[in-house]
Amino acid sequence: MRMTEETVPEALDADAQLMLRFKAGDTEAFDQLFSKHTRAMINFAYRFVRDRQVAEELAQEIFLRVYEAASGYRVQSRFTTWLYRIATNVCLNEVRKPRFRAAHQPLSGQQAQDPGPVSGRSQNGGPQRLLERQAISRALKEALDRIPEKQRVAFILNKYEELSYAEVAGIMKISEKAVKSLIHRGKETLAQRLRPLMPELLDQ
Amino acid sequence: MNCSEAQELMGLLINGELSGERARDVRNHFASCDACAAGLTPLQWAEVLPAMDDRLEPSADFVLRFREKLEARREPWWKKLIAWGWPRQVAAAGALATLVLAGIFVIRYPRAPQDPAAYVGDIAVMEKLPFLEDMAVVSNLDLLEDFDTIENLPRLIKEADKN
Repeated sequence: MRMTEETVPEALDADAQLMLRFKAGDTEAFDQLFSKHTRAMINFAYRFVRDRQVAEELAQEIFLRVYEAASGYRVQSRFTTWLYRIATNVCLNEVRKPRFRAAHQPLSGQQAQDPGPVSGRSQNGGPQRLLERQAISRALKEALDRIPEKQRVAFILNKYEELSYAEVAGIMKISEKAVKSLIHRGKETLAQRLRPLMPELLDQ
Repeated sequence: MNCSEAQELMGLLINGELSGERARDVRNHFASCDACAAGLTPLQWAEVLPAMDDRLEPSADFVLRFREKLEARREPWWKKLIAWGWPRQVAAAGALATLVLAGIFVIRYPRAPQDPAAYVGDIAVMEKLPFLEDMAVVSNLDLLEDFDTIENLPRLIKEADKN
């Protein structure tokens, strides 16, 4: 059965319309959603697990849940809000597993902050030479893996997935004000991890 | 995007006032321009992180693996059972047979309803004796336990008659 125009309001976002078409039995609509969001879901999961294979498994689990939830799907928000809520739950379930936590124990003290070999300031002068770009990137990624769970989710959804504060609030079921606060604290935590590596810079 | 434009917009990015494609352009500029990156503070580096992080592309067999998983979820239970392999099949069959036998036993031999009085023993039995309602008996219960007298009762009655 195909969805008629009467049952799919024009104002709906395109993805929600596809989901309603899939709910009505149009499997091609699901294929379109799958193709459109595959890359985003793999990368979203990767921010949490930092392992390609696991990230792909999680992305597949996200789409399986979308598939299975189709019969009960109702348009209450943007499709991406609904999709990322599923994705967030799947990813958090994974990183909360004792098996995952045991395999990703944070390093202690200086080890956790040390991004690896960096060139010395005294030899080269400017901060861009003090820390190689890769080292900064590695330090930040490691820091992102360790910031508190809610800060991490809000930061990833807003900065990586480019979702608005309102959308992040909808996904996390918290207020926009709380989202802003989480993101700000998340950035502060990341910056704190970098400061020992960039002592000559004053934070602005 | 040129350097001066990117540096102007960094303030807006830090304050969360820039989003979408514009924000992405600023991040990408700082992630690739050594001159601009030289002046970044740790907080600004945190803002640029998404442009420096890895971007994955799906593996070649990603769609195929998903289709297989989807088929596995959708196939009927008996097909899943066949796919289990014999050790699990035998264990499942044993568990099922035990359940069925237990069910048959329970249906065939239901527990007989028990008299609630049976749980309270002799006291309950004694409470049902009609003669306990007779005050003459109740007041002479000691006599009922005088077994010597009871045993010799016929002789005692005869002697009493003679007298």
